[in-house]
Amino acid sequence: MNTRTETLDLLRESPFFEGMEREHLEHFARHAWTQTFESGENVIRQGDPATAFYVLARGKIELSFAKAGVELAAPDEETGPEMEGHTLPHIVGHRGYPVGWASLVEPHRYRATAVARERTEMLVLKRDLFEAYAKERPDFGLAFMRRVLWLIGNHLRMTRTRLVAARYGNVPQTVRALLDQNAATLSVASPLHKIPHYLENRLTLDDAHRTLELLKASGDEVERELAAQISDLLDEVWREVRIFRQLQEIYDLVAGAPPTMSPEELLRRSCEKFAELFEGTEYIIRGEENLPDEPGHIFVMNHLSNHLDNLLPNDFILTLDTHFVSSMILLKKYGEAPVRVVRKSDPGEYGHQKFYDRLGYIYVYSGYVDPTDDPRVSPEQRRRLFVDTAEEDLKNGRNIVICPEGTSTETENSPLPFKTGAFHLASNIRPEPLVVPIAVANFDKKLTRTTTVAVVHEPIRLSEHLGENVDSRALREFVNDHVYGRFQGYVREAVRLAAGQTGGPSGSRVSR
Amino acid sequence: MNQDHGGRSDATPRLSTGVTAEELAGLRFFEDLPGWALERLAGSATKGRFEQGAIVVRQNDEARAVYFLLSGAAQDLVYFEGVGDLLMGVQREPGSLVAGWSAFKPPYRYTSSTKCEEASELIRLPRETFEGIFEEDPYLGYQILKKVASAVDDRLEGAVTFLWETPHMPEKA
Repeated sequence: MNTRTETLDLLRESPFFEGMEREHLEHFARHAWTQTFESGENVIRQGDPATAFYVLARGKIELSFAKAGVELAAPDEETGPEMEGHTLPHIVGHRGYPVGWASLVEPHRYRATAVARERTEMLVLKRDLFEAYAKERPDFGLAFMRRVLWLIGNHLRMTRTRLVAARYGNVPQTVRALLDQNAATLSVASPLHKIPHYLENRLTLDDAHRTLELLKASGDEVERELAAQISDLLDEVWREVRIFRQLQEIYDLVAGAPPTMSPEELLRRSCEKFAELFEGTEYIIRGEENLPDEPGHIFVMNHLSNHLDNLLPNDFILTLDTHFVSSMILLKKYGEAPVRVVRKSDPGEYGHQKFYDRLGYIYVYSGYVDPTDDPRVSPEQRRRLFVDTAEEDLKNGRNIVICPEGTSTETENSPLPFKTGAFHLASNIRPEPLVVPIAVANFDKKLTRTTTVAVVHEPIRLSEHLGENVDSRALREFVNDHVYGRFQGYVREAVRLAAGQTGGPSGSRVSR
Repeated sequence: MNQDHGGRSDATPRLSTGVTAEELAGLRFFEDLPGWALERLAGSATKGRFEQGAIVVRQNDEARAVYFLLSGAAQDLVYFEGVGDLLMGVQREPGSLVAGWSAFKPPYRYTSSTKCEEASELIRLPRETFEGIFEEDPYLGYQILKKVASAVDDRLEGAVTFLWETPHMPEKA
């Protein structure tokens, strides 16, 4: 913002300054200046002396409160904002949003921390400016302080509403509560009353979003303020909707790909799309220094069940943990998406089959096999096919991802006992591939409410433990006692990492 | 002392009496106020004792007065549709503003209910007396409203503390 006119425009757009006479705004515009904050930089810090009042000109800030005595996390810490002693942060991006009202009220200590979430410009107005002007123009001072009360009252109402949201988690009800609390000033004909109804159904969430955007731009004073507050409250909902849409797009990309597109190309594209999705979430990756330099190895990981919110309209759920490992770790390291071993779809799982058929994955069979659908009906034939296909991929320098539990479960119960197929495969192929353990946590939770974790551990060369000619019984004992036992510890460690505790391999990659 | 909700009150204060300027000056909120303003306020103030459980003001009623706690404890309750009255904080500090900050800003409606957690003594000051003082000395009005803002700020801090102590929703939310 370069000119006084632009500053004046910003003040006029700000709901806090709305209704103030032009001469007062011009006075402030003359004395204000713009400060730029880079992503991750504190605008204000809770507990610090509150010497200035800010107005958001451009960018986004994240507001959060920390309990007294709790140290605020540095912006680059991996713990994420929802650590112990912090309220749920909320992100604000609407121009004109006032920050640092504590500068106008005793004891003049900032009540919250505001961190820039991208390059952000704030208009700065020093506290002394208001004090001096109120003394010079008492009529203004009185009106101004009524406005401050209005602002703190809004914060109070919003905080209470967030309390209800946190306690009851029912977004439409929370929005209703917010509207009820403003019943004295909100017109009964306001489109805002439709919002709770729109929020009841995922199909009308877009209508809620559009209505709120419209009212933020062109509603009356009460509507604009409430629409902005509700939008902030729904920030998490919009993030969930975005994730769901991305999952739909990935499914459509794969299931609707032209027949001429190779599985490798399709796999790569879908992994790139998954990487885009995961980049918008909170995650921690550790131990990437344990990845072998060259591809052609077997990556074994615990498998987590899927959150039902990710269920697509055709009842298919895209697994998130394996796609995370494929897209965020292996694709990034080796420049090629790995082949996954997946169970053959059950009859009726059209979405499952349509998706995986296109990606050239290796099937393993569990339970029902339709003899008319697949001629390789004997278990030995199917096992042979699995080994041959996997061997060919490994020899061609492709990585394979296998979840040796053969099923999935919640983080808290993971890992379940391992089957030995992946390890048999490794022991039967020469040159011998390494078995690389990757422990994952929290992919069974809502991505908007958790920090997911993947930790790569030191690879296992089976021949170093079991010799060249591996006996089935010795292998089984090795997997059950050695590998599985360690893996239980790996998953617990991943859970601790997500909770903000340290440990495990070094070399973190953390989302911002 | 009349309660703001008239006939819908749950309890009536006993021993409604007048208040002196000296009494007001002894409360932190009124420190530094000039004598004439204290006299004016004391002239319209009433003091009353509320029984345990008595409702002092009700959410959404017209905010016609401001209440200060002399002794006892006052709960701040906010009604949410489908949930009921939620306790947002309890004020025990003598001299604190426990109800009526909404009397200073449109639409002049109480944003929460105030209920006595135990037998309490309160001072009631009508809105119009404050407004008369503001009109006469706007800068004094500015300073008084700064004190009101500070009281609301305390209340906000109380709400934030409650927010910390509230467990986050489980996954299914």
